[in-house]
Amino acid sequence: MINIMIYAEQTNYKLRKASREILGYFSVLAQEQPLQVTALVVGAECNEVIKEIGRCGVRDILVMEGQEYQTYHPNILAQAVVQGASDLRPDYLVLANTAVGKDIAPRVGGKLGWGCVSDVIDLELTDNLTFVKPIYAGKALAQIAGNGQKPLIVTVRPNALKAVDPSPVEPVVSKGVTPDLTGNEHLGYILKEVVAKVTGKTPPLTEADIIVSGGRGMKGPENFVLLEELAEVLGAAVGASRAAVDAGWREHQYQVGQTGKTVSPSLYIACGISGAIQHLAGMSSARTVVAINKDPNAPIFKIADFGIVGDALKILPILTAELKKHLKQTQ
Amino acid sequence: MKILVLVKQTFDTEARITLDEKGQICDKDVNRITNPYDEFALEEAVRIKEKNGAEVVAITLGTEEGEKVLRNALAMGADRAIHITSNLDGLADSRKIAHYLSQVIKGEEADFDLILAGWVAVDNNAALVPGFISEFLQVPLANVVTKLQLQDEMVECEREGDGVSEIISLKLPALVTVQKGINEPRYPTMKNIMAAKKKPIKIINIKELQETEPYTLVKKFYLPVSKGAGKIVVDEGGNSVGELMAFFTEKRFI
Amino acid sequence: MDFRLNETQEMFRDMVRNFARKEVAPLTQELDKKAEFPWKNYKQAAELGILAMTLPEEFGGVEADSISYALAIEELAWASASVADSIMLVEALTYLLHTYGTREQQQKWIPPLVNAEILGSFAVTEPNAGTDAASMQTTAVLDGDCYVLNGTKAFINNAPVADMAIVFAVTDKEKGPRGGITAFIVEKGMPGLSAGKPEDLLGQRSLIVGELIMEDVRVPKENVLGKVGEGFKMAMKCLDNGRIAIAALALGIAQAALDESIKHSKQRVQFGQPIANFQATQFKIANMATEIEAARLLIHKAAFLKDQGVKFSKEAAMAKLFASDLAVRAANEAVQIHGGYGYTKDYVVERLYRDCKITQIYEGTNEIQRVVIARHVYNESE
Repeated sequence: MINIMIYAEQTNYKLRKASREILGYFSVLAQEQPLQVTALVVGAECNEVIKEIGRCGVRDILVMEGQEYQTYHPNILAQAVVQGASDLRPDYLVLANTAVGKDIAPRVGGKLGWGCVSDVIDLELTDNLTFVKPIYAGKALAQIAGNGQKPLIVTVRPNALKAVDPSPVEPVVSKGVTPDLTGNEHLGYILKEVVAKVTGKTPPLTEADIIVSGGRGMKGPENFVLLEELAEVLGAAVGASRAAVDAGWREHQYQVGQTGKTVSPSLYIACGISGAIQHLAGMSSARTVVAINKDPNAPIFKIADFGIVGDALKILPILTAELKKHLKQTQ
Repeated sequence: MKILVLVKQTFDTEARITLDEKGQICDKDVNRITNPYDEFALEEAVRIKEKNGAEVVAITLGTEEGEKVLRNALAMGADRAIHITSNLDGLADSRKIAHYLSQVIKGEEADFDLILAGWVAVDNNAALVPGFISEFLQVPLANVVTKLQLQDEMVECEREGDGVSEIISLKLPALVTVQKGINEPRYPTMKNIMAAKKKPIKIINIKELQETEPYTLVKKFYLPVSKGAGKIVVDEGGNSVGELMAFFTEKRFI
Repeated sequence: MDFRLNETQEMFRDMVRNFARKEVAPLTQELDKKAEFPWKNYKQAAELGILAMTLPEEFGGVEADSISYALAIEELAWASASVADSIMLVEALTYLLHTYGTREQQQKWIPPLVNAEILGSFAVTEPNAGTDAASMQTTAVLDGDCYVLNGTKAFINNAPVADMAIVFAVTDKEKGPRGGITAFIVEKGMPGLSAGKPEDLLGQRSLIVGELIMEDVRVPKENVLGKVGEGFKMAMKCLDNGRIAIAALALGIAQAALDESIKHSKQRVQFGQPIANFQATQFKIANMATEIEAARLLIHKAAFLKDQGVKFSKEAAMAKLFASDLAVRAANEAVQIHGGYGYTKDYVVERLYRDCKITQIYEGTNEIQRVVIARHVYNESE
């Protein structure tokens, strides 16, 4: 029996999509394989999240509730996860490779004396689990395992695991003992302010199911509104190539590529992006790629499932209008 | 003030990746560069030095080619460098790497005020070493920082979360990993390249350090299967949109 | 014998390469279209110390050797021949000032030139005296404390905007070029000094090139550069140095042509496969790559000899001849590999095709290079 503990991350009292994917994936795997799956929830108010975890097919839930978890503090959260993991002694502790997951995984590993493999996109179960992780920004892949002596912490890239259809279960909750941090709450790390950056409904790039992305061919920052309009219709996030970011048209946090975000959406629409190796590295794991570019020789067409040789500035408004029309008809 | 900067040699981001007959990553003839994120860390350290005065020490762990990365750090303005020589490559176990780096820092560099590093390396995309080091050294860590300011015994950071930015104050000594956008790294000037030649690089062979086992092992490497080109249409006056809509429908995006 | 660069040379090259590829190349196509001087890159290069690299420390330099200098020019020219050319001009001017100038002249002119605060010109060529320097018509006649300069210089880089120019003029017709020509520092604002309108150039269109016209320009005696009558020798010395640089510039263009061709031929699909799979393409690439390697060796050999303080005129001429002919061939083949695309301004090779031509012409035409080489070869055989 392999013991898996999944840290179920939440934002605004809701389970994050990336965690949902992991919980569902393992609950389905556990139906056929000797796996014991437990979810760990840490938060100020966890009822909603517990229900959602049940819907992901995971029954056993360890909950640590407390006001100290209201706002994110890496040390406090890491302490709680360490406590939960020490109590349960899993073989694998799995987190989503989100900003939070990335931030706390090595801290937890450091405290517990465990190793860590991050940003995995697939896994294989034989006697043990082995993990597949892209290296050199997806230009190669590595299959990685623990050393067999110590438990392993794993972070899983959002959108990467095979989609599954888990069977809901009634959660069984046990309360964890929250670690005592009295007199040591801040550990030299004081959160002063949180500023929300994403406005409206746009999902974060790394979790978006659809991404509409623009490059040098967009000609200027003013034309990104065309991408935003299309994104709104599709419920997509807007990304940019390095050329567009370097030109100052978009902020760096929207850059897709080797020195930006690595994304794995279901659909990636590249507009006016030539497809430099740097860019391809960041989005080549997208399941479907649509490319619009004036240059028929642009390398992006090599990996595109559907390519249009043409001017994105002219095609985008027509596409957005068509999609709007389509949506109206189907509603 | 003493600032340590962790720098890593990585393959050039333009490099093509191939496997040799043993299934290992071919590293012959691959141009090495400083991990681009570490250049932001170096630049930030040098700016602090120029503004407030500080000693900047660049530290790397890895093969002999790492010297190039350290010379670049010195040419950008670091005062001296430490090279932990080892045949561990850029894909080695992160916890193990952190163990060795921490050991050296705990030794002669224990009086540091600030450690700066890139938040991630472009080769293994792991983003783990700084987290481990913060635990081994028991110092606070702010990750993925886009703005940084020193204030008395504190360093104030603006960090990137998922959809939020957070303002954080760390008590020194502390570790901060930086994100693109924090600055524009300088090119070393001709003069500074010459000056870098005279700056010291201390070599520490990894065998001199207390050993540790790797916690993760690479079973094998493989190359992604390219999926082959799809359908290409040439647009004339927007006529391609209909075909694209059909494609969306077929793929069930709409 | 060792063909490796030393660590310093490698670091210089890497720095200039990074700068050229990240800062220069993205602006080049646009500046070429607008025929605008690359001010931003020029000032950046000054800040990085590239404009002063061969000078001693007191003038902001690092006394870089000739191989480092050739490497820097090659890397710059890969991104923009215009930028490389502008920087080579500063090197020529500061070389003359530093080698022949008085302390006052050096202190007055070298710092603003290498800091990119002012632009300078190097004025030898005339409408009727190109290769044939002996027929120089610009005259300088001593009148009291001043020389009075009359004449027109043609195809002068920076002339329409220069703050200063080193002008070569005939001071003694009887003596001919050797002994009869003198160099003067002519300053902007001197009465009688004017410039023609900028030429509409075929290539390297970001350069500002035009005539420099002198009508009774009174140049104070203190502005004589070097000794009276030494001008021809100085100009020839400059040309020898310049040939290595021009060769490196041509090499940079050829390398860019090759790199663009490789990239394009791997992307461009015809008959169901990338054209890189066809031998017709492969042979072109193989020729270019081989000749580029040969050119680089010739250039580094000439630079090496120069640094050893031994004669390098023949090798410099060979390097210039071979590299500039190569640049023209390589750019031509690159356009051919690009097909119709290469004939449009959207593609870098179109610019390379225009930028390369001048390298066969200036700093001594390739015909003159052959004369120089032949003279050396026959002399050696005696």
